[in-house]
Formats: sequence, C-alpha cells, structure tokens
Amino acid sequence: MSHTVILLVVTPLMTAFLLSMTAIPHKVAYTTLKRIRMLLSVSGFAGLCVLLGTAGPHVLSGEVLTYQLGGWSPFLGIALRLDALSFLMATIAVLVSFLTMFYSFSYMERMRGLGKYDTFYFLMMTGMMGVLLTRDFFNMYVFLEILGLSVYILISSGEKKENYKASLKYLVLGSLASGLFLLAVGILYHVTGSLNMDYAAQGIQGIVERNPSVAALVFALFVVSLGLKSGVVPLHFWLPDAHSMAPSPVSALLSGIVLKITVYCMIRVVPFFGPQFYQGVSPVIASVGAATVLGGTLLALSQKNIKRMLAYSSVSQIGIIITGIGIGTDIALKGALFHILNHALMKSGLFLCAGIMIHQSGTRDIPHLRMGTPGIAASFVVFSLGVVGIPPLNGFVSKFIICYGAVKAQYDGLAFVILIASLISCSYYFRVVQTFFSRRQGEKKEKRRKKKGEKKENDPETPLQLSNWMRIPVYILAVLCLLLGLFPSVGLKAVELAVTVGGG
Amino acid sequence: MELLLLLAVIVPAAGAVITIFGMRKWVALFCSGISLGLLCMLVPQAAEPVEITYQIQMNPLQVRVIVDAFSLLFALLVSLLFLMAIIYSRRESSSYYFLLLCNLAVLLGIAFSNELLLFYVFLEMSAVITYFLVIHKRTDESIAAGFKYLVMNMGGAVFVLLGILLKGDSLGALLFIAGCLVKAGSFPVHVWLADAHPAAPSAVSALLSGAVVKTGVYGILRFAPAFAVDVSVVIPLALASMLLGVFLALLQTDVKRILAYHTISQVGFVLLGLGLQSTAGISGGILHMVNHGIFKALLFLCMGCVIKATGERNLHHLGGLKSKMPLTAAACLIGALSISGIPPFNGFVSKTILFHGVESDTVKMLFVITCAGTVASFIKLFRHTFLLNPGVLPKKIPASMKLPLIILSGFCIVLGVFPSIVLNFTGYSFEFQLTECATEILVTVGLGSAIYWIGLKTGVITNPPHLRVSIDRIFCGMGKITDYSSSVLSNVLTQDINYYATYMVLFLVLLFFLFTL
Repeated sequence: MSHTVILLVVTPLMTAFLLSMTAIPHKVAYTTLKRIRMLLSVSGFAGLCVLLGTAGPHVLSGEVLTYQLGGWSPFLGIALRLDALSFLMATIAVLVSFLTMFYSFSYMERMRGLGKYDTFYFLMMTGMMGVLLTRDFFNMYVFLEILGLSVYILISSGEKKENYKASLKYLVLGSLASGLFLLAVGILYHVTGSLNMDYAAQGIQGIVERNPSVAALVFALFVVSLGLKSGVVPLHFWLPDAHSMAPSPVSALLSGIVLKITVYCMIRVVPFFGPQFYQGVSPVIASVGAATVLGGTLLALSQKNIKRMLAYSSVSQIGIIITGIGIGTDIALKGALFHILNHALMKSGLFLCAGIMIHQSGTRDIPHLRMGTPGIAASFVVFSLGVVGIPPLNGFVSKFIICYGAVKAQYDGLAFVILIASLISCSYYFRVVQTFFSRRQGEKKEKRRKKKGEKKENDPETPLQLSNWMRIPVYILAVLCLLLGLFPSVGLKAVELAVTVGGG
Repeated sequence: MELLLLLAVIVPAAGAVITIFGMRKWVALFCSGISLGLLCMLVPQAAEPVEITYQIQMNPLQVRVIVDAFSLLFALLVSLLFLMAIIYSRRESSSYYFLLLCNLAVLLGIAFSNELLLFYVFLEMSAVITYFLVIHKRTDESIAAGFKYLVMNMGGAVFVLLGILLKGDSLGALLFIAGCLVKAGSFPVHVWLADAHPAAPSAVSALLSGAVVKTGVYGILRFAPAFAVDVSVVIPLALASMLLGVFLALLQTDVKRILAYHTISQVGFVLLGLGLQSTAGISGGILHMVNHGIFKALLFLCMGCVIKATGERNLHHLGGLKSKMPLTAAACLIGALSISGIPPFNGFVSKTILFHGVESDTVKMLFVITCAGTVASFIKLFRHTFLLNPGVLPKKIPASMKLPLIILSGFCIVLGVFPSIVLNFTGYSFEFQLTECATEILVTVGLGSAIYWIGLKTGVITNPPHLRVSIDRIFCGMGKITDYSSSVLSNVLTQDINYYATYMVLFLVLLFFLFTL
C-alpha cells in the first residue's frame, strides 16, 4: 500500500478546498487575495509534481503502486493503482495543466470570479487524477462526473453568453453519455459480480463465451459513452462549440487533456474483454477511428473561426489515436500513446497561441488575424508543423509509428487515410500561417527581439498587454515539441513501458 | 572521413542557428564555403564507396549514410549553388539566411542518406523550409504560389511515405516514384513549378531550379533499385515534360516564368536519361542534372540582375541592355548557349550523350524538336532582353551580384571542354567528336531559328494566346472539390441537441449490431 497514490488524488482536492475558502474574506484587498490564490495554486501543483517525482523511479522500473481505500479488500472496496500507463497520463495532465495555469493567471485576470476558476481548476485535477488511478468502474464513473462538472463550470467562467451556451450543450450531451456509462457499469456488475476491474476481468471471459450479446452490449455502451466524451465521429457535435466558445486556457485544457482522459478510459476498457474479443472488434474501432480522422479534417477545412478549426483538428487527431487503439498491436498502441502525449503538448500550445492572437487582433476570423509577437507566431508554426506531422517534430514520429503499425497489421487503407488527412490539415494550418506573412495587415515590420522575458512597450494598438505569464508557457511547450521530435527516444521509452504494463 | 562528412552537414546547421543572433551574411558565406571545401576534400572517396550506419534508438528509422560518386556529385552541386546564391543575395531580412543554411544542411542530408525513411524526413523538412523561402517577398503572388507549392509538395511527400510504408507492394514503388516526380516537377505534376519559381526571390529560384528540384530525381536514382521497379515507366512522362515545358515556355512573356518552364523541360531530359537505364542514359542524365543546375542557376541569377536593375519582369518592356550591362549579357549568352546544347558549353555534352543513348527514332525526333524549341525560346529571351531597342533603363547593380555569374559561366565553359571532370564520377567517357554531332547541332539551331521567326511573324511571340486548357485547373479543381465537400459536410450538421442525442442512440444500436458479429 503506497500512500503516494491516494495523495495524488487528495492534494488537488485539498487545494481546491483551500482556494474556495479564499472567497470568504470580504475586507481583504483584491491583490492580496489574488496573490494568495496564485501561491496556493502553485503549491498545489508543486505538491503534485513532488508526488509524481517520488513515484516516478518506482513506476518506471516496472513496479506498480497500489492503495486500497479504507483497507477494504479490492473485491469490495475501491482500489487505486499507479502503473506506467497511469503515470504517463498523469505526467502529461500535470504538465499541461501547470503551464496552462500560468497562462490563465494573466488571461483570466480580466474576468471576475477568479476564485471560482481556480477552485474548479483543482477540482478538475482531482477528477483527472481519480480517473487515471482508479481500478473500480463505479469509482471511475464518479470521478468522470467530477471532472465533467468542473469542466462545465470552467467553460462558463468566461461569463459571456456563448460560454454558457457551450457549457450547456456539453453538459446535456455529457450527462447522457455518463448515463450510458453507468448503465454499462451496472450491467457489468450484474453479470460479473464485482466492480473492480481486475476481478471483473476474470468473470467477463465466461460471459463473452456464453452470452456474447451481453458482452457486445456492454462494450457498445462503453464505446459510445467514452467515445462521445472523446469526440469520436459521429458523436463529436458538442466538441467544436464547447472548445471554441470556451476561454482559451480552458480550450487548451479540454483539447489537450480532458479528451485524452476518456481515451485513456477506452484504452483500459477495450482490452478488458479479452484478446479474442479485441481482435473481433478491432476492425470496427479502427474504422470508427478512420471516419473520425477524415470527418474531422474535412470539417476543419471550411472553418473561418480559428478556434473551431483547432477543435475539429482535435477531433481528427483523436481519431488517429482511436485508430491506433483499434489496430491493437503493440506498435500501434505505442504510437497511440505517444500521440496522446504529443497532441496534448501541441494542441494546448495551439490554443494558447490562438488566445493570444485573438486578443491581439480582436477577431477570431482566420483571414483577419494579425501576427502579434514573432515568438508566438514562430511557436504557432512549430505546433502546426507538429500536428500536420512534419519532421523533425514530435507529431511526425507518433503518426509514423501508427501508420507503420497499420501497414504491419495489414490495414493499408488506414495509413492512406491518416496521411491524406495530414495533407488536408497541412492546407488549413498553413492558411493560418500564411496570414502571418500577408502584407495586407499594414503593420510595420517588428524589430527583432529576444525570445524570452522582454516587456513590450505599451502599444496603443494592442488591446491586451502580452505578459510573460502568457508567453513563457507557450515557448516551453514549443521547445518540448521540438525536443521530443529531435530526440523521441525519451518519449518512446516511457510509452513502451506503458504499453507493456498497462495495455493489451 | 566520417568526421569530414559530419562536419560538412553540421556546419551549415550550426551556422543557421548562429544567424539568429547576427552577422548573417558573413556567417552564411563562411559556413557554406566551409561545407563546400569539406566536400571537395571528400572527393577521393568517390572511388571507393563507403556505407556507414549510425546507431540511434529510433526503430524503424536507421541512419544509414552512403558516400559514393553520386552522393558526392549531388552534394557538391548543391553546396556550390548555395554558395553562389549566398554571394548573390543582398542584405535580407530576418529568416532568409537562417532558412538558406537550414535548407543546405537538409539537402546535404538527402544527398548522403541511404535509408528510405531518412530520405523522407529530409525531403519533408526541405519542402517546408523552401516554402518559407518562396514566400519570402510576402507579396500576394508569392503567398499564393507558396501555398500551391506547399500543398503539392506535401502531397508528393505523402506519396513518398506511403511508398516507403508499402514497400513490398508494386503499388508502393509506383507511389514512391510518383512522389519523387512531384518533387522533380515533371508532367503532370509540374504546375507548382510555374508559379513558385517566378514568385520566389531570384536567388531562391536559382536554388529551387538548380538543387531542390533535383532531390526528386536523386531519390529515383538512389532508391529505385530498392523498390525493384522498372524505372522506364517515367519515360513517357519525361517526354511529355520535355515537350510541354518548351511549348509553354515559348508562350510566356515573364522572364522568370520562361526559365521555370524550361526547368520542367530540362528535368524531363534528366528523367529520360534515368528511364533509359543504360550507362549512357544514366550518365547523361546525371551529367545533365549537374549541368542544368549550373546553367539554370546562372540564367536565374542573370535575370535576377536584370530585374534588380530595371524593375521589370516582362520581356517586352526590356531591351537593349547589352551596352549598359555587358557582363550580365555575356553571362546570359553563355547560359543560353549551354541550355541549347551548343558546343563548347556543358549542355552540349550531356545532351549529346543522352541523344546517343536513345534508341527509338520517334524519341530521337522528339528530342530534336525539344532542343529546337529550347533554341527558339532562348533566342527570344536573349534578343528581347539584351538586343533590340532599349526599353527600361537599368540602374547599377552591386559587384556581389555579378561575381556568381562569372563563376558559374566559368563552370559552364570548363565542364563543356573537360566533361570528364564529372563523367569520371559516373564511369563513362565522352568520345564523340564534334564532326559527328555537327548535323544534329545544325538541324537544331536551324529549326529553332525557324520556329522563332515563325513565332515572330505570327505574333505569337509578342502577343501570346491565353491557354484555356491547363493541368493547373485540374489541381485547383481538386482543391475546390475538397473545399466544397467540406462545406457541404459542415452544412449538413445541424446545431440542435436533439439531433445529436438521436445520433448517439442510433450509433449505439449500430455498434451493438457490429459487435455481435
């Protein structure tokens, strides 16, 4: 029993609680409150990093850390487990959330109710950690709901009409999906007698043989519910609205991590029914993935709003990951997990850049975007190249591995689909890039400036003062993408371990 | 030896990073000069090819490097052209030298890679870097041209990757060759060339035509054996490129577009040589690849000087520059004679080798017609720019722009008189006497002059007709269809939550049925 595991869930919960307490004092100055909240947030994340850091060496050497809540045996109680796969996902989640939090210190400053934002940010982290660590299906449902609720509130924290609309749409459809998930869990419990994944896995084999339609039903329910939350075609309709109408850091989180959490659940669930079942369903899941890839890219092509375009692009990339899961071989799974990591970095970077660019141009229309700072434009180019899959960036490595796995597993068509989609995504990403270089903007050429830490003079044209809080996370993400692309072996080793321990 | 090779590739890359901080042109000159020097030192290695495999933990990507005659030849060509382009370039803004040096490093990587995936990686990187170079001028024309360039080259790269992934299949081989052909700008995927080369700054056009386009050809040359495919499938495409390029060039009035269409045509010659697969064919093709790199870069830089001096790209607004710009005129004359295949310049040597490597009589006839067309087109170019009545008056141009012209003209002459310098790399010896080829030369020149004269009389030269049918439309049409399907798709989807919930349930039922199978 390792307490690190439970602390990973409890720390963000406590931080959320403490942050909510900061809303109580009335007489304290706003700036002091702001500083306290910033301090609390940073220490919350620091705590998470410390925990992950201490658990890291153990997990990466193949050990698995477990914890039973209340000391109950796993059959009856809730078991948490930190293995290589959970650790990988947790690291991604913490990394991206940490950077986005710095970004939102500056971005959300102008919006009221910062206390609410911070509290639910950490509640969202709690939900994430819970989902990633739990070994109990119903517990997974609970944490998915916590995650969902916090996200709904975060989306609406911009307090504009479109934020509320997006949040409501996501809420309704997400709750429907959660209902289906609960139904699946219920049937599973009835059929196998336990809610714990490991124990239920033993019982499910018999069910698959004796009563295949029940297994199919449960699996279909899981796929639909998790698929909707991940944004799979044809269940993706809420995604463009939610991601584009949310405030930019929240969009970054949504596209970057929240989608991946439910994909992680799928990774846990899909091999659950046994290898033969997996082989049977793999063409279906792979085709769903392929449809998502194509649908997402084609839809992104006609978008004028940059955030909607990025949202549809997320759909497409999630499709690539689902395709990797569908193919099911070790190579493909490795590619899928690496793409989860890469896309989290790239897409959150893209949304953060988009937020800066939108505020500097005052519009979301692609033809009217201004370049803003050269550093941000360069980072946008780096992220776009990664999503399109151009060497030497990380996106290329993961896409290639998935295509390679597809061809190896006789799914040639999937490789075609993924690469054609890359070609199409090249055209819409570079449509944005080329507006940076268009002369029609009529702005004078900016002087060359150093990349980090330079205060911009008060330019009367830019409505938003571009602070370092917003710039540095973007640059860090861009550098990480480049490094992972040039030296992918680091990421690949971690992913390989995750596949052998966690997957198929 | 390994160290020399590594340094030759890494020095430009390091230089690229240094240019971010300052002293751009000197750093660029220095680095490309060093690179060229190091590669010259490697030349003795051509006699004994060496293959090195570097171990990196990136299965299935292996870094296998080969240093043999072909790779050294290509690398030398590339670094020479880059050095010339850097000398020629004036003080340019931020990313120009950075991109040039990165591109040099990547192209050298292409030259020496012996592993398909490594070749693809460098090919993609080169495509993206070149895109940023093409749009360097930031005009609407360059941006549109750059976009077309990027999408088509990405498409080519995607085909190359698919070909690599499907390597065992015959489909894979065809895809790989198709992808390389897109990069090389052969018919029918030549449309990006016609727009991208004129729109780019002159030095970049010279590099595009001279070096970047050759990567496609080099890919076919190096990797066709790995695919076990009959390269002669490219012959019909090569012939079509040759003819179409010349024909379209005759109809152009923009100086740089003429040169761009000639690139399409001359690359057709190179592909013809490769497709013939005989020693004569391959040697001729490779020699023509090198020669074309040199004289096309020469021509582009000449025209760049003219454009810089007069500010005009339209042929009919120029004229009479011979007296004001004698050096440029002489260099352009040398370039024009080289490309037309007149002795004693380098074009003559490679074209003769190719001509004598062809067996079929129809092909020989098409060859001669193309050469005649080339002659006609360059009579037009030279005459209307430098002779005739004066058009726009030229300003002075700096000496740094004239130096590469002199050097490249020198190479044209030297390689024409002593072709064995290059031919030693390919193991072929040029044994044709001038008298043997005299008939072909006379026929070509005569026919070419006749074509020009007819063109002048019918007014085709001064007032070219606008073509309705073009392949360009097919590709633009493909783009439009994709756009249309995209908008149709997004219009189909309503915004009502009820529909979404219904889709969800329907999808659930569908999946259930699929899973029970």
